[in-house]
Amino acid sequence: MRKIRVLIAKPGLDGHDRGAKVLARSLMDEGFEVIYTGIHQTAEDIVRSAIEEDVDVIGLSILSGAHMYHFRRILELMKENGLNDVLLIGGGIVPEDDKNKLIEMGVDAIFNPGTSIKEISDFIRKNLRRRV
Amino acid sequence: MNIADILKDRKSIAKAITEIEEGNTELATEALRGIRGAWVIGVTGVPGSGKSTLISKIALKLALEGKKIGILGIDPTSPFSGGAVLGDRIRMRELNKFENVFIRSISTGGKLGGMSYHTPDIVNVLDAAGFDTIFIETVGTGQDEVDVMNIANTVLVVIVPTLGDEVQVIKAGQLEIGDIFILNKSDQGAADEKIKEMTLIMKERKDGWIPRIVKSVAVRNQGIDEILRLIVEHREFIERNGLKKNKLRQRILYTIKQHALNRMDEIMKNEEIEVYIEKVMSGKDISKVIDEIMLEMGVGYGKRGKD
Ligand SMILES: Nc1nc2c(ncn2[C@@H]2O[C@H](COP(=O)(O)OP(=O)(O)OP(=O)(O)O)[C@@H](O)[C@H]2O)c(=O)[nH]1
Ligand SMILES: [Mg+2]
Repeated sequence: MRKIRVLIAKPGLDGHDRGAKVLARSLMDEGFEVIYTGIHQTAEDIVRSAIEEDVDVIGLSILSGAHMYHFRRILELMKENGLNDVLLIGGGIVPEDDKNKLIEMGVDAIFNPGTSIKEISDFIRKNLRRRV
Repeated sequence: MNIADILKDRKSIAKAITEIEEGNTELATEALRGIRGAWVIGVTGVPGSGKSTLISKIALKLALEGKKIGILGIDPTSPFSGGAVLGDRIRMRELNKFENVFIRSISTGGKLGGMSYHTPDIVNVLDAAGFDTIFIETVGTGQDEVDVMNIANTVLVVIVPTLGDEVQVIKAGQLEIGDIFILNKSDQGAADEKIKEMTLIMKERKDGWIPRIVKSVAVRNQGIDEILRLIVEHREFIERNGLKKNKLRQRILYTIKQHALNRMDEIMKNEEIEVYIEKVMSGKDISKVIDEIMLEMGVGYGKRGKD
């Protein structure tokens, strides 16, 4: 049986990836196959990796405040490449207003810091768009 | 089915790999039949020795020459959760700008030997898709990553100066595995001394190749040209001595063997296997019971292709 594959990436300039690494590790403990691509990823890097790795989920770790920009660009590229069966989720500090806008744009979920790993895993398993 | 038509772009290659991992043996068979003879380079060595960084630097040069490069990065599956963190891409970001590079991260799936059951299939897919050079980064424990020999044309063993001595290399059987030994991180520890030690224990192998040893500092892009030169030298040696077709046959045989082992593993994981306990315990020979298990439970594995 195939494992659910999750790409964890950190777009943009800020170089702290402790949170992203902890998340990657926790998702592994939940039985997911996590492809961890590291920091300073461009939207192009992220979508290309998602295609090559044929992931079920793209998870972005965002701290820098440029979340609107990154998500918009990634959604654009996902659409261009026909990744309509891939979930897009994010974690980090995102104001409530922006969160609603992102969901409207097509992001599947935004998790605040401190969200339990159980909640995130359950969300992924329930909302998966592909058969595993 | 024409495999070259199926593997027409990045996305279809990626999807084909997933399908094979899900058990599509028809596709695996077509990929095998479509192989063109890519040069397969296995890279092994203890965790953190710099395998991914080295592959990235070597692949970068080849990609600039316009070669089509495939890279498989393998990391271990957690025995506790069945999950994995696959992190080899972290060191390969500079390859993302090349159209002629394809990277895939794979978990071992709990299998020993440093690779997953479907690693040979994935190599075949990339080969059939027209990649010239395919790198396989195995899970290195420094001990049992010998499996890569069965699919690689050239094996690079990465060692570091700060770890162990030449006796360990001999003990681990790595002398027999490596065609080229790379002393990476030679900016640390007594690199030159280590090179001397290693050179002394290199001896000609059965096929006539004498393993080479080379220094590198992957993070500073040092030693990469020399590694490339040695890879070419080894390749020319293999081709000149007519050994390439043996290697290809070995890969084909190994692909089939891995399917057999995978299937066996799947059967043994099936809970229904419990019903056979009684048969053994009431005196039926274990090997006869195994025959029975294979016959009765061996069907229905994967998405079977046509006869
Ligand atoms: N000082 C020094 N550091 C290096 C060198 N090559 C790689 N590194 C660093 O060593 C660490 C591990 O490098 P990787 O390329 O990820 O090693 P790896 O063998 O692929 O690791 P695993 O896949 O986890 O087994 C990274 O922090 C690299 O930047 C080198 O030549 N010198
Ligand atoms: Mg690595």
